[in-house]
Amino acid sequence: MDKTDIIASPNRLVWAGLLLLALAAPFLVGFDLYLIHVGITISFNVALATSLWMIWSLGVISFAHAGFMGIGAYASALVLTKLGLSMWYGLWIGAVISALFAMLIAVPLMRTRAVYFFMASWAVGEVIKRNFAYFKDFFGGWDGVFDIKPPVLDLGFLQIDFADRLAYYYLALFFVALTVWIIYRMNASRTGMIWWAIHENELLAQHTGINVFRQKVVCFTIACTLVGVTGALYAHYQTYISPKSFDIWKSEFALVHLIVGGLTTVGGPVAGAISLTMVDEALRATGYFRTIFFGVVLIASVLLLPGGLETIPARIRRLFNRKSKE
Amino acid sequence: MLLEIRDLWVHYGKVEAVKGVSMALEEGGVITLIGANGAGKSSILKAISGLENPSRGEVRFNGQVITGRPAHEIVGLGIVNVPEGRKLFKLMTVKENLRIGAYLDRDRARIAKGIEEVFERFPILREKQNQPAGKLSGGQQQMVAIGRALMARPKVLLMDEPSLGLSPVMIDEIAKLIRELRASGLSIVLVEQNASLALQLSDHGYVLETGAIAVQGRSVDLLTDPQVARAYLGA
Repeated sequence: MDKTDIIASPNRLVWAGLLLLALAAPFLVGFDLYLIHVGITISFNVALATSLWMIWSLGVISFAHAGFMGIGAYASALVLTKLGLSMWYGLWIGAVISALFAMLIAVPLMRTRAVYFFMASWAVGEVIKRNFAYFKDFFGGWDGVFDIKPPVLDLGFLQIDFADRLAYYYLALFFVALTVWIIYRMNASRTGMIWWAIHENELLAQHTGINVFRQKVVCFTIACTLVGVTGALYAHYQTYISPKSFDIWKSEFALVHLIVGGLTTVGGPVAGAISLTMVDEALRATGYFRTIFFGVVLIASVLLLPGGLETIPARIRRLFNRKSKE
Repeated sequence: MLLEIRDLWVHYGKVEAVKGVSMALEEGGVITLIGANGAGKSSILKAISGLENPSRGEVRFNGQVITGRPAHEIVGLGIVNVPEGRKLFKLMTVKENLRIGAYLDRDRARIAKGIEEVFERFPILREKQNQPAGKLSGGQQQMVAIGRALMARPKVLLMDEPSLGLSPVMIDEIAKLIRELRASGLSIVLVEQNASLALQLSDHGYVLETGAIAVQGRSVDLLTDPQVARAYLGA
């Protein structure tokens, strides 16, 4: 996969178009409540996959990612149910707690490499989930936490109750757009270049004076903070969370979104999460067979579209070039 | 002494890779480590650059003990590695590779000047500056690798097998470059399998055999030493 090939493409228009489409989507679907729900689910999955991709820019995939989403979700939910503070507080408290946990766990986790990292992160994800289940009095055990009310925004002259699904759609869209934008900018910055340098050759990165370990901890912490915020938004949307909402499968689906979407640009996870969430929802009627269909889609996309959805613009360009030469 | 190694031991598990090696590099000098594969040359370089923790012994830089300090700090002190096999960030452009070489430098003007100096030294890289480094020829990649190391403004350059896999013409180029770098005041530790080349370029040579120094001396003497000649110079 040639990275420069994609970077060189004029993709600002694509991003702007995508954002406009997302803003107009509720109107386009005639305010259909179910489809707006799908839109909100897409938003969460985009944030999950994109922040997972940010960790991937270091060269590893964290299976603890959904676990950190859970930390943000539980933190925000408990801030509401135990302290009575709304999501406007919970969001930031969730972010801070996710960040602190991520930083702490990254210290041992980021000393492992390759397959050992996958296994260790898997264990971390599982332990986070088990802890939610184990401490029944505090986290509500396997039954989870109920009655996590969505917030109300009081601007004095205007009150927005986010129990309204359309309002929540735009709230989720705002935070997801912000998440993707932050990750996009970080990736394009010097720091992003350094992460890709570590990804490509960790030893050589050390030879250039990069404190590889510190960079890894920083990257992991930022990604987990972002997904923690996503978790808080998820909790107040679903109004109910349980340990099962944040198990390994959630991380794995995010990984599938990455693979189908593409691994070298931010566009990859975004495209993967949007399209696969839609496929997943479309297959809802098939019930039990849904996962099987999902598997077929994954295999087909890897076989027929290696490099993922992000390579489509380059493929089209190549097709045109070939035609113009003939 | 600019760089001094005293009684250095490196273990990989139970395997002794380096067994009590002592060496010294004067400011502005060039020393070379020669020896067969697995003699411990690369392990010594790793121990100097902080990538491997020696089990015993110490490395001193300007009189200060640097053993056990992390790799990125040692780069900051001015000991910079040109790793074996022309290691580059292949997906990044030539210019990005050079820029990342000056990672610890926050002075933009100095970075720009450094890139300009590398381009003056290797004019071909100016032409290829926006190409992915992985698409360059072997010799050009070695230029980028050396250029990248120079961007860090090193005091000591550790070069691991710079001639490996290069054409004879390119090897001459690299030899010329090493002489130029030395003339500009840089101190160099040169690890080479091409022993005759390495001895021609250096003041002092250390011949390693299974982790220990078998012979050492002035390079001119080693070049005519019958024992060294038989084993390493193919005479």
